[in-house]
Amino acid sequence: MRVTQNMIAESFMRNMYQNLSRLGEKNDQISSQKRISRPSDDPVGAALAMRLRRQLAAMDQYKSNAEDAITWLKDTEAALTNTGDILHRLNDLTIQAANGTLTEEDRQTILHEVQELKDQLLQEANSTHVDRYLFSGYHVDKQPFIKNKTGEIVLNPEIKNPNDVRILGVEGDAITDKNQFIIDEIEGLEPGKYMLEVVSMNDNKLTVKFYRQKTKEEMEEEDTDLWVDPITITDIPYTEDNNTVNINGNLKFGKNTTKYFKLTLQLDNVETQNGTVTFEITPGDMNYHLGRNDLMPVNLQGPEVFEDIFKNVEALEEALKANDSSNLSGDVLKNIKGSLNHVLKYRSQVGARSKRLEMTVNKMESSYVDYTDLLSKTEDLDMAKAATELKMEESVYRAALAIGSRIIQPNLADFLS
Amino acid sequence: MYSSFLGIEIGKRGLFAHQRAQNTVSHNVNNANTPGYSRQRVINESIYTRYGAGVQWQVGTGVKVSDVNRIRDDFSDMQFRNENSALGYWHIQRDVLKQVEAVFNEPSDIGISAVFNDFWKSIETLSKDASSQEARETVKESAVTLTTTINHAAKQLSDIQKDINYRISVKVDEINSIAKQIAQINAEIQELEISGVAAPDLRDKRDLLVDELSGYVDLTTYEDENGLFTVNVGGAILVKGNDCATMEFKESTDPDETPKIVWKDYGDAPVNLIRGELKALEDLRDEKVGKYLEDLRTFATTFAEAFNKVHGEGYDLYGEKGQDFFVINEDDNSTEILQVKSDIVNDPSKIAAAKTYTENGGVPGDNRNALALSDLRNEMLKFGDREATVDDFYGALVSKIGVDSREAKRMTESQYFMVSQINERRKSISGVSLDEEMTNMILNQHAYTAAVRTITTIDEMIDTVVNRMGIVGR
Repeated sequence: MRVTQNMIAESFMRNMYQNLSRLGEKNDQISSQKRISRPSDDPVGAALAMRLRRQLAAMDQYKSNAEDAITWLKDTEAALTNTGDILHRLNDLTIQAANGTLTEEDRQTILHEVQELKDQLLQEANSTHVDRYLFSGYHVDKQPFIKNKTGEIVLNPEIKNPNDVRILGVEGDAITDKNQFIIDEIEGLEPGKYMLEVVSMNDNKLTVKFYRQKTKEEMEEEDTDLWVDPITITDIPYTEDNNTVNINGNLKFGKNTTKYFKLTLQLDNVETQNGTVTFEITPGDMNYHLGRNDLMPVNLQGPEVFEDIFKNVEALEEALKANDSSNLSGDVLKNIKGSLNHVLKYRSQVGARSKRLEMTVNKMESSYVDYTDLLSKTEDLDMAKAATELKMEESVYRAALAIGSRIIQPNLADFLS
Repeated sequence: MYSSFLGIEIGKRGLFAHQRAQNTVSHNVNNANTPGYSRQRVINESIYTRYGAGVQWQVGTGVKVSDVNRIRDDFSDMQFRNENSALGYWHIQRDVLKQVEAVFNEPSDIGISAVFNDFWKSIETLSKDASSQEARETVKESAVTLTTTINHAAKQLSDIQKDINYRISVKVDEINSIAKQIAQINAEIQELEISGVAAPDLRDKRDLLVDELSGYVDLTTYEDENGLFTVNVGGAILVKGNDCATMEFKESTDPDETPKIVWKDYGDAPVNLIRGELKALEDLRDEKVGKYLEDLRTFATTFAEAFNKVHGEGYDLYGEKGQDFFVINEDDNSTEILQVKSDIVNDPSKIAAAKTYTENGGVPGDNRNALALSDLRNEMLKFGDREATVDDFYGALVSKIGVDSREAKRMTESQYFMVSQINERRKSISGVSLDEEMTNMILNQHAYTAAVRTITTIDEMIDTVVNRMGIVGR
């Protein structure tokens, strides 16, 4: 093949260009310390890197969630510990008071202390974590327990939320609007606002109570409970189906029903409407994500933990006032002891949750390290390898330059005299 | 019996021929680096008499330059132009796709992927304390950042499309200009060659123009016996002899349709291209960048719709049902695809994190809707006719861009190599070798000197006859 100087020069230039291009690429990689600066460098690797980043962000978040849950539970633990201590004291006082040889003065002293301790219990039940009440379920801005006019400690009516219900579906002619439900076939109910309380659920038989909300006029009369005139309906058969409980085909509600959170029905015209409304009753569990499909409740429900305790303490109060020593040494003492165990039960629950959370934190931390390593392997440059390659490219470039300078120069013209 | 001065005449003719050859060598040497130059060769022919002039054989009467050949291989030219079209196609794709990669900036800590991660994190943080104003502010802020980032990417893609349109129109003008030039040269070449004058340099010029044109559009050329030169683009005639057609980059009357490249002279028929820079620009605008923009839009709107739906199932801090969180722009042509609803921007308490409400307001600790919003991330949504999670869909889009860009890089490299090889062959045939020219120069010089020698000799001979004959006895 005929070869001209021009061809050699061009060929030389072309190879130089390729050499320089590789050199430039290596330089880029080393200065950015990344093997993949753009998707085209390695599309599969880039996609993997994005997925890993996402994983890392998720793990970081779950760890943070777990850590926050731990601090919430720490405050809960503190409140429960204090409650336990108070109950211990109450236990001792009860035993003291049961001793029939006390004077009137002694009894008054004990009564005063019991009342003080009751107030302390109220404080514990109303503990907060930063600005949020620990035991109010979702109503973190409202204290769970209040003292009413007669000195009784009761559940804050504001957290008996008439709207703690979520409509899942409507069939037939039932009309729903906010919290209005029309239900068929319930005898003896006047039109008005109602509350359904599930009292017990076992052996495929349900017991519910219907409370009626006081009318405005009634409310002006006494300042007690909002919900009155309970009608108990027992032996309602039900069937379970996944997480839904069906009653009579008329009422359906979600499985997480507890007796402390209720739903309200507005019954306008019981006779003429009918239909079925499916709804869900709010459990009040504040869940945190600990993993992709991993939810854990971090709170305890105030009523569950404390309602009975307060009833028992008030029973103690009453017994002291009445100087009923047989009751004191009998039911009252038994109930106080029962409350102690009750608190212990919850303390161990809190302990178990905290343990699980710590495990989650550790797991997230170690997984984070693993994934970061994987990301680095995918995305980052092997500096030693790259530096070696750069040196190689440089020396190839130099050699080519040197040789090139020899090939290009002379032609026949240089040798003709 | 022939003329006494025949020898001198022969010598003279030799001088002319060798001078001409030397000039050609000089021409070649001086144009050794001229782009598109094909080396020229003088073809010498021996001349002789037709008639015996008194002898029984033809009498040689010297040398003449019968032709100046232009050494060029048409087949290599055709191959070059084919591969050059492909090169033109791929290197434009490579350049623009590189720009597109810069728009998305993945993988990195600042691309859409990273911003999206931050948004999900803010929702998770909200689910830990739905009552927290800071958490709500953070959700709002990261949502705004998300929409801004998405819109910005959309705008940049749209700008690339606009830029492509501009480049197409410039390219169409260039093509039209080259076509005119070729037509003109055709006329000049025909004029010269019809009158018997070779026009190698004009042909070189024309071939150079056609080479340039081949990078822009895929073409074929044809020259008939009469020297009529035709350039064919996409089955239609661009140049024929002195005439050329014009391409136009025409806006469509339908605002949703992209402008098209048409033949002005053939009733606005679309120009049929397969390769070349022009086709690359068209493909990039419609099938690559256009698709990426569409996918980005699908990604954003599907996500926003799903988010709005779950958001609408919850209640905010005021106990009101959740309104739309994202406002989706109905206008398909706008690059402001998503906005965060201004009500939420102004009052993050309107973020619906709860699943219940009270008559006096919201339930601040209810985080169930926030959890549901967070779970959206793992849900399979319907993107057009595909089902995927939001992250997978976006990841697939970025992967596609990466793969397309990589393909363009690879093809450009391999085409570059192909074109270089063919060019080398062309140069091998048509290029000037200085060694060769120097050798020829020496030959010519010797031949010239020898010719001069013959003249001198004959001059002496005639001198003998003229001055030394018949001087006996003078």
